[in-house]
Amino acid sequence: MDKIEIRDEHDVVLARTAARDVAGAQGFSVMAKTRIATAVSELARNVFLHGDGGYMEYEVLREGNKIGIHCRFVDQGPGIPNIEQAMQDGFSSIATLGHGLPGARRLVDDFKIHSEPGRGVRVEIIKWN
Amino acid sequence: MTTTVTNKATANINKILDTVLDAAPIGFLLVDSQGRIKHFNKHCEGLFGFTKKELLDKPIETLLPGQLRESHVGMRDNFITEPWPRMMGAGRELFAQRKDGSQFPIEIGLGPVEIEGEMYVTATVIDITEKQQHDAQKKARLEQSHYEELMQLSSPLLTVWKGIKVLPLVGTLDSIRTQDAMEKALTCMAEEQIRVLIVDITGVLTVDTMVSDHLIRMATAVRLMGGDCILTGISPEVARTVTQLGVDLSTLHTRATLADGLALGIKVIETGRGF
Amino acid sequence: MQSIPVLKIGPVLLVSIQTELHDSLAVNLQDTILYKIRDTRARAVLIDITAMEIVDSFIARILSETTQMASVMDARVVLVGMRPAVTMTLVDMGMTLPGIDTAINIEAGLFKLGYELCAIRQDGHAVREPALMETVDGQD
Ligand SMILES: Nc1ncnc2c1ncn2[C@@H]1O[C@H](COP(=O)(O)OP(=O)(O)OP(=O)(O)O)[C@@H](O)[C@H]1O
Ligand SMILES: [Mg+2]
Repeated sequence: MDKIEIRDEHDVVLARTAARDVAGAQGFSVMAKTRIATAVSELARNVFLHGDGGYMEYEVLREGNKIGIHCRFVDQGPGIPNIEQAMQDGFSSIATLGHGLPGARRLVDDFKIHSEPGRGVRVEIIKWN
Repeated sequence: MTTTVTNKATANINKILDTVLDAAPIGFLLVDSQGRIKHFNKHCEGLFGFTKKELLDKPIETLLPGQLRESHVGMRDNFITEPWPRMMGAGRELFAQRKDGSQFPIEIGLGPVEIEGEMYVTATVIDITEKQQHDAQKKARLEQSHYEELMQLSSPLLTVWKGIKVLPLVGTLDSIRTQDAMEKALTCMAEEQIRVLIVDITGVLTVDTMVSDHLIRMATAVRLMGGDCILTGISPEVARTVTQLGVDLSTLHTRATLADGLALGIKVIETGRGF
Repeated sequence: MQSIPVLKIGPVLLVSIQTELHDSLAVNLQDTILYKIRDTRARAVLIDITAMEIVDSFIARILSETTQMASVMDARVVLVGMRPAVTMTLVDMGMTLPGIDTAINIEAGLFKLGYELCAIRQDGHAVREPALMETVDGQD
């Protein structure tokens, strides 16, 4: 798995361009490429904005003739006390739009989020072409 | 209908027949009333992989897959009691077995002959492996083109005016189909710099909350791209259900008929100001 | 510090985003546009995002906020050239940018604002003097 540290906003750009480039290199459709890159942008931003920084790991998946991209976001921040609430459209602890998490979930094929209060958040996504 | 060959003629004709039959590109077998193979042509050797010696006087069942052998004995007795020419196993897939045990699909024609007072059965055998493969390919190609036709049918984009496209939606609108139609329409808008997309739902069977949601998403996407979306073909029934379901279509520009929608679209193009 | 050029063509500001927008660059752009509206008394802003392959919720928010802020300053913002894939991604995320003005290309954007590209004179004023134009002339 390749790894990108996410400490500031420039790393958010790095993470999403990496996702876009990998998807492009693997022959993803423009639609699928844009969706995965945008989801990565949302989750990477949450890592640096809410999670005090962390990293993204990513790899290419092959199943039969399906090709996918798997990304994992890990931070050691405060965690999310109420995941169900955070996954709702329009919930935000910082009075923004709160579209990030629910939006990212709709953009990918597989979405897992895990958090222990005080011990950070871990999000895994998979997007198939 | 039984063919009788007289004694005298036999000797002469046999030679000629052998030559003719060996030249034929189909398998030919002569079987006696006990089911023993009495004669066969060259093509059969290649077909089944047996030599003349190995096959002569052997039961015809030698050439059948194991599980068919027993039942075949009964069937050939039936044929002897009702002897007229026919295609064997009409409507069923028939298989023969080669010496090496491999099987292949065949077509068989049967005809009774009487030679010197004895009943025989002639069988013509055709290997239809290639024909079947060909048929399957043809079927697959047909299905593919039907499918493509359907996909196109479901979202043909019609140019009706410079800068205006019409997307007539028909049948049942599921998520995949609407998504597909939406992607095509938006890509086309970007490529051809289309200003107005008219979505006509005259042919849509039911408009429920899900379909309404798809339509609203489509209109939103068109607006974000810088175009204007007009929804037309709204029947009284659709207007009623949509209202009763509490769906808010007020963000969409709707017209009862395609003609009205087109008129609106042309106005939008000409003023250039959008809605 | 990297920044995005804001051009003035008559009473219209033209912004074409050609680089990857990181968050502070986006915030920065918002500032630049608002100050430029005040300083040049521009009445409209065309933001061309044809080159943008990714617009996430943050950038979308900045764009929609900028529109509202400009409108408070009496300038109209038109967002130009959003790519189909970007559009569908935003719709999927539920970011519908209500109230934002859009156009398929810069020409259509100018047309929407009441300016015809071909009719803009050397001095940057439109020949066809639409309502918007007259007000600007009056102020000048
Ligand atoms: N990595 C994280 N660590 C801690 N809290 C998080 C993390 N990710 C999300 N959250 C919490 O979940 C809420 C919802 O996140 P979401 O991304 O949906 O919205 P947002 O970041 O507030 O706004 P937007 O993403 O629309 O700009 C956040 O406000 C924050 O409280
Ligand atoms: Mg977020």
